Amino acid sequence: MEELGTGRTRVWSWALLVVAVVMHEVALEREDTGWLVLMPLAQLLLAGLVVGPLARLSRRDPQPRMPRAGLLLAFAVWIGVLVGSVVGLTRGFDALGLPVPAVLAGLVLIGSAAAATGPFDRLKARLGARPVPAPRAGPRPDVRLEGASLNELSPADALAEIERTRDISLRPLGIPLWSWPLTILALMLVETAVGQDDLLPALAYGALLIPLFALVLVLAVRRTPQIRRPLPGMPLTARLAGMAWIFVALFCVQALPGAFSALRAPLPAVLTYLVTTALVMVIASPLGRLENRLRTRAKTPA
Amino acid sequence: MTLDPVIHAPNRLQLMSLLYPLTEAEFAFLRDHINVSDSVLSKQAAALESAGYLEIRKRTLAGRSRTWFSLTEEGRDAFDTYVTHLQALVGRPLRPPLEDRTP
Repeated sequence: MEELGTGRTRVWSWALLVVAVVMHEVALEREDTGWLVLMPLAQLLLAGLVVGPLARLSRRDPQPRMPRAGLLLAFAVWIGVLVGSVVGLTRGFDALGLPVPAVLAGLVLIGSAAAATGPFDRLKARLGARPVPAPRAGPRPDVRLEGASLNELSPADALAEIERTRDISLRPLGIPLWSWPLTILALMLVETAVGQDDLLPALAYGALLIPLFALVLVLAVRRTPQIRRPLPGMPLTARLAGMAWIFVALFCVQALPGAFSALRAPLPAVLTYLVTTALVMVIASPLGRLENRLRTRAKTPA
Repeated sequence: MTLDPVIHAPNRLQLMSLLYPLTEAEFAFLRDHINVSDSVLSKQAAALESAGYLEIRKRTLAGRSRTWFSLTEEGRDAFDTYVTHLQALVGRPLRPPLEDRTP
């Protein structure tokens, strides 16, 4: 587990994610209740391992700091519950025979995620809050400052400066409003793609989704070419946008194998997942460069 | 109680405080917000790097070389200790970040 200490996502975590996707596909094929219960539990465990590097990044959050194991567990449970909700809702609507649009399910999920974020933040604050030293009675201790140039900065000034600069780093950069209609459009595309019996329309819808996915990914994760923040330090809107697109990605995993089945060539879900991921990465990179170039151009006087 | 002299200098304090909540930041972002020249920032960053508090990496993006800064684990621990000492001296905790404050 010490490998998590670098704060980078390891190759093996992606392999675990692929295993989780395959297990998800297997669970959906089985009608047995045991499989349907055990598979999400196994996925939950795998999700915990995948999220580990992300949780580790949250140590960069200045305060309060949550114990690593607690944060890991909370993230695993949190994401596991969200993933379970997606699967559960989809299957529940199917069982009822109600053709409820995916967009409605998506909105419900986004609302649930928003509701879940508040308690999660409070839990994080409660677990990680550091004891604040009580104000000392009597004269304050002498501060031994070394070097003449340091005298110009009093402890109170230093504390105020830390608060000011920290607020600059944590300033929300904002997710544009138009990213939300894009999210809803993507959910509608997924719903349409799932309903297609023909391969080409389904793949066309899938192809439309990929640039949308990449665009919001660039906004939600990179957002500015000048700084990179740990994910848990993102503003709520960015986290919600990111989560919404995780749901879209999950629906993609569901939709593309269906399209391949229509061609009577049932390629494994893992293959389609890998292709989708690779395409997203290929498209996200030029988009990031374009975003960077536009920003640079905007700053340069004509 | 001794405040870490490596951190307790105006520009270096700003540099570390800006970097603390971030995974990493680019040279221009830090220079613009600390409001110093390129050479001053480079000098202060080199001082933090030699203390083991800062890691400096160069990357090429869109054909241009850019310098990225990030705090090391040692730097984060040192900054934690520094802030704890400051809070004890001033007699108040850090205010919560602006976005977390309720109106």
